[in-house]
Amino acid sequence: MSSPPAKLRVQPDDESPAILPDELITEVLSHADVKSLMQMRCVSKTWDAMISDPKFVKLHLKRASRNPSLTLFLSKSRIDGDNNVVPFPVSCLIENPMITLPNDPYFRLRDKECRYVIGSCNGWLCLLGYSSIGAYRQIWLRFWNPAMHKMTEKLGYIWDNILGLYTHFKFAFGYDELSETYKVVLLILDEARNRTNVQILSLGDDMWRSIQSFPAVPLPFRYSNPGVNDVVYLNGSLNWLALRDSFRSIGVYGWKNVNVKEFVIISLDLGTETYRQLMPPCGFDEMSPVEPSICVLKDCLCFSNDYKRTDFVIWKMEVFGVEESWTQLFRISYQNLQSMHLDFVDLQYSQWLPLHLSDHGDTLILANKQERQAILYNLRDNRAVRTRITDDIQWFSAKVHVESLVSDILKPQVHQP
Amino acid sequence: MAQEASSSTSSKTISLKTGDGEIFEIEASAAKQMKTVQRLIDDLGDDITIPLHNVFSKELPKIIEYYKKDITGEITKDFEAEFVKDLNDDEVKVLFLAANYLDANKLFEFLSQNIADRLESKSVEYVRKYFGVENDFTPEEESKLREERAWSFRGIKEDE
Repeated sequence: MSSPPAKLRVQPDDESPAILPDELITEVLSHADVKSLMQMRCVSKTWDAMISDPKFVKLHLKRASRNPSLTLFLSKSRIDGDNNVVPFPVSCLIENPMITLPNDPYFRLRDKECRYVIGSCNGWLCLLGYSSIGAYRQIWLRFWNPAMHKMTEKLGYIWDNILGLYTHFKFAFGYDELSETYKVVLLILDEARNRTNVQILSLGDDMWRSIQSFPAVPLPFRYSNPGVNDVVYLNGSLNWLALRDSFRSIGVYGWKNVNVKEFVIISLDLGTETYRQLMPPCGFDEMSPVEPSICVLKDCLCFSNDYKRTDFVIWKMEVFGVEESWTQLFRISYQNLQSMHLDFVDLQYSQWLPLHLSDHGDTLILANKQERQAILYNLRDNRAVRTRITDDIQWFSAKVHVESLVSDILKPQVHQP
Repeated sequence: MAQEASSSTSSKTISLKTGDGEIFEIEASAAKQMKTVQRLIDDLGDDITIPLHNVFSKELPKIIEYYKKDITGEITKDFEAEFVKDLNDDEVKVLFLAANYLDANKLFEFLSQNIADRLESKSVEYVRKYFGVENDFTPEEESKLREERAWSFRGIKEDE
């Protein structure tokens, strides 16, 4: 008897229970988690092929993006850079703000010879490590998909004068849909000329390439570690909030002297490798002592600033690239962000960073620079709840991360017809 | 403009007849959420009993219950958890097939996720039986694959 074409399931006989047709099996599997899917590759040869098919990987990624995690960065020891990064589902965090993070050695960065997380894209984390040799530091990158237990070798080596890393470099990681490759961008701040030089590395290539520089300097200028959120990846572009001039005049108390008009968003298209400048919302017309920032909420570029030290305002660019489409998304008074537990910290003067907005738009996760805990802000009843996690998490480094089946980011992501 | 009574006011109910001959009532606004039903209403009119040959009296009341909650905007995580709590894996599968036939998108999405969640801690053998799939790996091939992905096999519950 000739064998039927390979199918995801066999023809049932009349007594067998309800059998799902192939399209429905694919639908169900696209909702499954990566670990289960890796097991299910053992179900049959056809299932093995289907689960590793690029079209299925893309479908699964789309579904997984609706249920993201935040990479929680813990510093176990500041001295020898013993850091952990734990992807934690946002839905679990919202449901129960009091969590204990697993103390699993799997999440140790030191074992991977790295210290920080630069970014997350399509399930892959870009890690950074370095070692000092005399007056110089050798820096490298490494890519890790925690769900798939896959990791690349160290790559993208660069050398840096030992004083350089924290104040003069910024890294960013994203995916270029045009060439179907993952790219890392290195910004080298030229403070003296108020410019930023740009180098780019396409994963799979050996060398960094220089591309056009831009006449602005991205924020923040001084920060505690390279893993801090200072870039926004959106729709194949990397975006930084930057200042055109006055870089030199910014001291510790100098923000008030900055002209609001000097802020600009530099948007680098990863496909064309050219940048354009986007203006912040025109409603942002008054400077305050607190630094503004950009982030992504609900797949839109957002800009947030302090307003007269009474409110925290978040704007949304409804249509990416269209400056007229900036609309005010939320205006949250600092009073509402204070919880019943009174802190000695004067929250109005510290920086806030929105991390994630829940699917139904009712819970906003916010980080505050001064606080060890993040805030879950309920937008319906204007109530703030603090997370209660005993670990010391650096919330300003938390990246939005999804589980993915993308198995190899060093090769062009070929799509089968 | 003259107010003409529309045939799709939300207070109107539609009669649905299952494959095993039972009749159930559903509000027109809920019926709208099931595209197959709506198409039949558009073709046959809303005054006659709509025949649903592939849905049976065991499943339809459950589906109606879901959409009753949907039109009042009351579907919450708790409701959904309660909704599937007493269904076994085969019952969910049949309900899922019915939701697919009825083109009831919201329920379909929810049940896809629910089935995927249920399979999370099940063995490969269970998954094969559940979907009616034959194993075409040789024992050597399969044990090699399992070894390569040993990390993904930790923490499986015993099959019930």
